[in-house]
Amino acid sequence: MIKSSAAGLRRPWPGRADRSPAREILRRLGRSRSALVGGALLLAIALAVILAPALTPYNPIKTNQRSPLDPPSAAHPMGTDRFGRDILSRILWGGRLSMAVGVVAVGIAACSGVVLGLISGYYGRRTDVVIMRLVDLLLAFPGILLALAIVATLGATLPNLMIAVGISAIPEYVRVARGTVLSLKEREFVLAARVVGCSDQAIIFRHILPNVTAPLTVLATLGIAAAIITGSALSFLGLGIRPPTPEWGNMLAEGREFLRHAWWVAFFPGLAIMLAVLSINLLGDGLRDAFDPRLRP
Amino acid sequence: MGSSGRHDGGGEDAERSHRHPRVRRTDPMGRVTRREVIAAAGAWIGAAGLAAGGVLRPAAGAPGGGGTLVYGLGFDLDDTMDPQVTDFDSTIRVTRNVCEPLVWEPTPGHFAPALAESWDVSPDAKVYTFRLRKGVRFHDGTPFGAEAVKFTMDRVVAPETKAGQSHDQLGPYDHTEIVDDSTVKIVMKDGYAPLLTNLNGYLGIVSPAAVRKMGLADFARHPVGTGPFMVKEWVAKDHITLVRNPAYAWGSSLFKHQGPPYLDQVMFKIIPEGSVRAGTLKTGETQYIDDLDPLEYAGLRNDPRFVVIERGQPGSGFVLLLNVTSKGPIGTLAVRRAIAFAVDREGLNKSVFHGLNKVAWSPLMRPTFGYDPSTERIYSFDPAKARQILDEAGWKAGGDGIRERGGQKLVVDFPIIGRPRDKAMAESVQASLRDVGIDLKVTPLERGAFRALVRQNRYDVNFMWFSYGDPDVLRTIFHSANVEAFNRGRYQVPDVDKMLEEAAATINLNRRAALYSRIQQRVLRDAVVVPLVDTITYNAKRAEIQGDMIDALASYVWLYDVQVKK
Repeated sequence: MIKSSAAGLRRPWPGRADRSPAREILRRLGRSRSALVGGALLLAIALAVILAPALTPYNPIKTNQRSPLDPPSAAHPMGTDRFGRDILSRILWGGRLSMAVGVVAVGIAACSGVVLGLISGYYGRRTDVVIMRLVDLLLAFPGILLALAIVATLGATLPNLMIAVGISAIPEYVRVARGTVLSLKEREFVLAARVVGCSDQAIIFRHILPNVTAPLTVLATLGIAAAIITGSALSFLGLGIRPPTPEWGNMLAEGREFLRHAWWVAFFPGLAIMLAVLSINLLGDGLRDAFDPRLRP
Repeated sequence: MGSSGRHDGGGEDAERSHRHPRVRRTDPMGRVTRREVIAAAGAWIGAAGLAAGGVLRPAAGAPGGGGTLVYGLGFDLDDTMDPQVTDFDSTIRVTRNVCEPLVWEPTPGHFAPALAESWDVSPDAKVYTFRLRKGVRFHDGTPFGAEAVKFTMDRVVAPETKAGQSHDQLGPYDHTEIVDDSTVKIVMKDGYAPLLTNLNGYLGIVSPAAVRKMGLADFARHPVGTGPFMVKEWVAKDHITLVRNPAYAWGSSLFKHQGPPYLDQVMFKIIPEGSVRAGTLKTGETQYIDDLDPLEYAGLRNDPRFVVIERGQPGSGFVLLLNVTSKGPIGTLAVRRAIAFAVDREGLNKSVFHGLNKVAWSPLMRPTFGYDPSTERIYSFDPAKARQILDEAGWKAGGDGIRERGGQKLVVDFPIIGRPRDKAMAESVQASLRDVGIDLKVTPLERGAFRALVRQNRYDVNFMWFSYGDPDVLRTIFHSANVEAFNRGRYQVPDVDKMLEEAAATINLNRRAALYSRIQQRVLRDAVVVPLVDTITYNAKRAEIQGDMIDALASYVWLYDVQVKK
């Protein structure tokens, strides 16, 4: 058995006690080029999307139906769509929705997933069996199919879209949380906590949960990218977003028809999805490296 | 841009069509599901193989020797080639070459002899007498006569046939009376003026002997008629091959030659994806395609190697039906009239249909008999007028640009089926209405959810589209008996009902035209319908193909006269 203590686990890099774990992680993150590039890109995208009202030259839903499909020009750097709407403005506004879907969906998945995973792992036995079979049930369906079914059942609205994408991502979080609990619950610091009379709740949330944070942060970061793609895919399929609201996925769907004749309609939303997902994935990779003590230089 | 189908009940398939509508399953914009793309890719590869094998090879011997024409069919058949059983327009595009009807309709309202040499209709449109051509034989060698006509009509209403669209086409059919071997009377229960136009493909005459011998299932694979072409083979989801009927000597006076057709074979290749279909025409793998991809229009049009065939469709074009029974703002005439003035039809045609359809002002499309051109002056695109009407009705502009009256927002509910074309049209209308302060709430729904909303009368606006050969189509969308079917405006006006019934029960053309004119004027003034665009069929062919003709419905192509000029 590994000798360990609660303190030791919280600071998994003995011998560098001079640095706090958070600073250590930031230092490692700073040394990772991919994390830096990803982080900078993500920051730029986030800023552009948040400042969309100030940055966009046009109203994203203002149409000019009689001159549709203008190619990119100085007036419309990314051209206009079939209704003569400015694609740049729509991408910036649409990014707010796409990013929101990603963040909220991951929030839903992580919160419910981790709680379920902790409970399942900590109590074991029948509780574990019931929860894990439910998770298996979710796992039995591909994520996108599950999300599709949920949206179709609940009705195609934006909140339902977020819920659907969230639910479809739950299993990963349950499994990560459960796995960590299983490896920790027989350790001395947990036994010690129990001996001094901590309640189950206190043990789970005060002593075990902090140890799940590292893998969870990585998972959630990468999960946002996946959720953006799932959300866009659903709106590409016409679920969730009401016209004329722009969203990257439905903009892409609108552009599909003109791929060979007006490439810019699908190209720029596709590029936006790609850059957002790429930046998050790069950052996520960097985070994973930074959190993983085995990769310590 | 029109399409292979005939009907679009707010985006539904015509699984329970009221009258005649034929199913449309393709999307006129050529947008397709992934499954269709895969199927099309397969078809394309198939077509390529075919081209390599040498299309248009000259056949030995004359007459004929016209080689093979490969026709790119924009939509697959349903799983039958029995004209009385099918629900698909695409099926009839094939079978009308095999099973000829009693009369042809080359242009709306004008009929030409097919298997009937002449005909009379009683003034009340109840009794149709046909004098049949003599010396006609089915492909199986049995003679054609009055008995075959009776057999065909009777099997439409016989439950065991499980008739498709033909059942709607035959209308209030009562019975067929054999007067002598070459004279029949088809008798209707009520006056039914659209019968002649409906006698087209779906009521093509079949060989009674063949049906009895083969049974329904086999006949569906290998229909037997009197046409210039006979079925050779049907490879599901890939192609149908027809061969020349060497005995054919009873061509309609409509045609330019007599005797057997020039072509040795016609192969209908099923190529559902629009851009792929246009591609096969360009490479020469097909020589004729229907349902041209709108984005290919300009390119083919300007290329001397190709000819684009355009023909306006009759019937009722894309319209909005406004629910007059709605408890919301749209229940009031003022709001509905404002909408009629506010919709930018030209903008919609440009943005959604690439300008290839025609702006509409009447619920009847222009080529339809009874179309009243004076409807074009009732409304215009006039947002200022729309704003004025709303102002006068007490709807004042609110802070967010949406009008309000007494705390109620001017919101109009528009559930649609979440298909690309419907969404694009809805979005276009939505933009027009927002400009005058109306919030059109467009909700894309899955088909089942959409139907449920419609059934519960929880909507303000619906799309509708019916391509149909007779103005009787107005009965489908405005008669009170059809409120639970396609009368989605839920319009119930006894005067209009009476006019619709009277117009269907007379063959006096002046009387009919006058009645339909009054009906068009009335429904427009009541603003229960907002016409958007008339749909136009676009087919394309290689320039060396000559002699093809398209029928009154702008759907079916006669291939009998087709020759390939070198």
